[in-house]
Amino acid sequence: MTLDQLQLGKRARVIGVHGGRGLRRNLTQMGVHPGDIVYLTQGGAFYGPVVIEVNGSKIALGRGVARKVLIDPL
Amino acid sequence: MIRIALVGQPNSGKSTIFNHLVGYKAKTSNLPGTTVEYLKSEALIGGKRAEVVDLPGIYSLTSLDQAEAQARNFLLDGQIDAVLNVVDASLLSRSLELTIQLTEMQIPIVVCLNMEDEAKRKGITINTEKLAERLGVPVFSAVASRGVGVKEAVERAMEVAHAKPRVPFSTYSDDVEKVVGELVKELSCGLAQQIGLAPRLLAIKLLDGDPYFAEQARKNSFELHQRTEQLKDSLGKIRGSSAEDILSAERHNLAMELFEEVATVGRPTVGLRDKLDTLLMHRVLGYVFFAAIMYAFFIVVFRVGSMIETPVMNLFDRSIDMLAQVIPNNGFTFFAVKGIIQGMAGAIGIVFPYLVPFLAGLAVLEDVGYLPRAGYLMDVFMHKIGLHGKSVIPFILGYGCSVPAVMATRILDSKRARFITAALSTMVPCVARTTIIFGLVGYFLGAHWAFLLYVINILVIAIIGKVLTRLFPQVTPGLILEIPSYKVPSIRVVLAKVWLRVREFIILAWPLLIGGSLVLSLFEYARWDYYLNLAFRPVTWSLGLPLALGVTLIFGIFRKELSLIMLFQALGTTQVATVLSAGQMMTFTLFVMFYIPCVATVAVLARELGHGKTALVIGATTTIALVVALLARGIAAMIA
Repeated sequence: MTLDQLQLGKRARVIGVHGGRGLRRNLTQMGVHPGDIVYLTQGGAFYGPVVIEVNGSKIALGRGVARKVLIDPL
Repeated sequence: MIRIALVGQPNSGKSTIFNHLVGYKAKTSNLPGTTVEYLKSEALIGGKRAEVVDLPGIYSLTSLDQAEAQARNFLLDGQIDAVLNVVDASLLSRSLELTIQLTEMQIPIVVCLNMEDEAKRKGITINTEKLAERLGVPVFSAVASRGVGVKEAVERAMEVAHAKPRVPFSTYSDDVEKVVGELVKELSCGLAQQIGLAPRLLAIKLLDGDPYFAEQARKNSFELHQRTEQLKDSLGKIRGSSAEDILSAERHNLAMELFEEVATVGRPTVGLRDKLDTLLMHRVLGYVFFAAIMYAFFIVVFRVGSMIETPVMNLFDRSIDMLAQVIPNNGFTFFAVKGIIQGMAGAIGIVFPYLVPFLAGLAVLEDVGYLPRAGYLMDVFMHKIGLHGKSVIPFILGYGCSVPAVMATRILDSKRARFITAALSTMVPCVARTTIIFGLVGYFLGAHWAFLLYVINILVIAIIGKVLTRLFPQVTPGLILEIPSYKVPSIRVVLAKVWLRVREFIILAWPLLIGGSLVLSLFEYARWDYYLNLAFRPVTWSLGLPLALGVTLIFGIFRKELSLIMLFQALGTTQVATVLSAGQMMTFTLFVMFYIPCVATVAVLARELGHGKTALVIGATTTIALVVALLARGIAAMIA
């Protein structure tokens, strides 16, 4: 399952990122790594971005990006 | 002189520390070359003079975007005596990855754990001594917004800048170190020496696939390039992943290990700030609050501004009337003095009253941390014009000034997004144009007409954005934007930001305003203004504006606010409503809102986008201005 499908307020473990080098790098330096636990705090209106909490920081990810993050819901 | 660089991730508080060190009166200037956003200044540290450089916030030193590559190259130039690594203590584990990369550069370094209070709130306690011991470099904790702990950290940075101790680096896993070691052997007497880099750092950069160094290696020798690729492959094979991913995972592991050793995570205090986002970033309410915040911001700036404008302008009007009684009102002296008075009046009566509350408001929104939230909310709409939420930040900055807005486009990842965002952000009414909107339309026609202008502006920008994305089609990269925690705005920081811009206005623009006003007044005396106006007659004629306004448009290219001050000067009265109709005021203001960006913006556009694209922006904005103003004229004629 991918991050954009995660329900509001639910937690999940990141399995991997299905994307190019730039995307992977951008996500890792923001603190999103495989194995990390993420928590979905906001799901935007109009199919907008989602907001996750990971390692103590909050990050907004566009739907397209969220769709490339593979997760395992907890 | 000793040179100390402040390096840290975005929002770690570098600029707060910079302001703290440098004070409000300090002389800040731009560094030579293309790096305008690097603020540098002299400061007295422990009684000694030093130069402090504030680098833009970067997440890592593996350069894929321009800002990071520049910061890295700046650090590697060898002109830096010490690095003060500013770390958001509440995000320690993530920030340590940058710290690890910085130690690899072998520049003397001091770590400043900022926002200790915020970390405590999140339940994180950090053992500073242990961190210092493990990293082998000095570590200080601080709360920069209150000035706590900054002095100690900076003084220590001065010491290490002098003493130049060897910086220990963290070692990766054995298999990685082995490959790094192999590459170091190849580099030691070759490329590393040539470009004056530590061989280990260069080896890591090459394995990391850094495009800049990869190019250097390819240019150096084909064998080296091949050898690098070979080693990358062998490393990849051991772990079943790519070399870059392995190094990134290694750094992450090192940082996590370190974090777990030095920090304990307890229960966070859940406060109002955490709950705020459930409202402000809510899928529906978020937009309601966004609109309300923007509207309130606008109304407050307008109320404060017009409250001051009226009495001040009356005062200056009266002084001109009095002047006419003292000296003959057709002589050279009268015109000269009148020009100077009107120039002064424009600044004190029109620009300051709107500029100061506007800048203060923007600084507060920035400091609180609302801008990234606006970016999150606007992402959906930005996608409609082919951009993403990050582009909102240059746009919002554009309401302050187009120059930083264009520079802020560096945070965007693609060239196309940068061009489109930069081009569009020059059309966002900056504070100078805001003074025209408020001082002319708002003041004479009412706040709601001024508000309408902003709405029209947004609509036009959206349409142009749509057109541009059709012309340059490409898939928009997705949004990845950090949402920092809310901070109570620090009055010091807000004042410093306002002062920085106001001072720039006083030094650069005010003399120009007074000079321009003087020149125009003398033109009027000599009756030369007629020829200037004639040159712009095609524009003023087609827009149905008086001939005398031509000259204001020329001055507006230098500084946008000059258009308004020159308007009073050109019409010979501050009671504009007696000379211009409501339709004419709207038409004029709309034209001024969109036409050619000011000289400073053109200069920064040329630097960031190149001459060709800048010429395109100038041509396009002028055309847009004409079309929009013509439409306004037509509509005004229909209503009247």
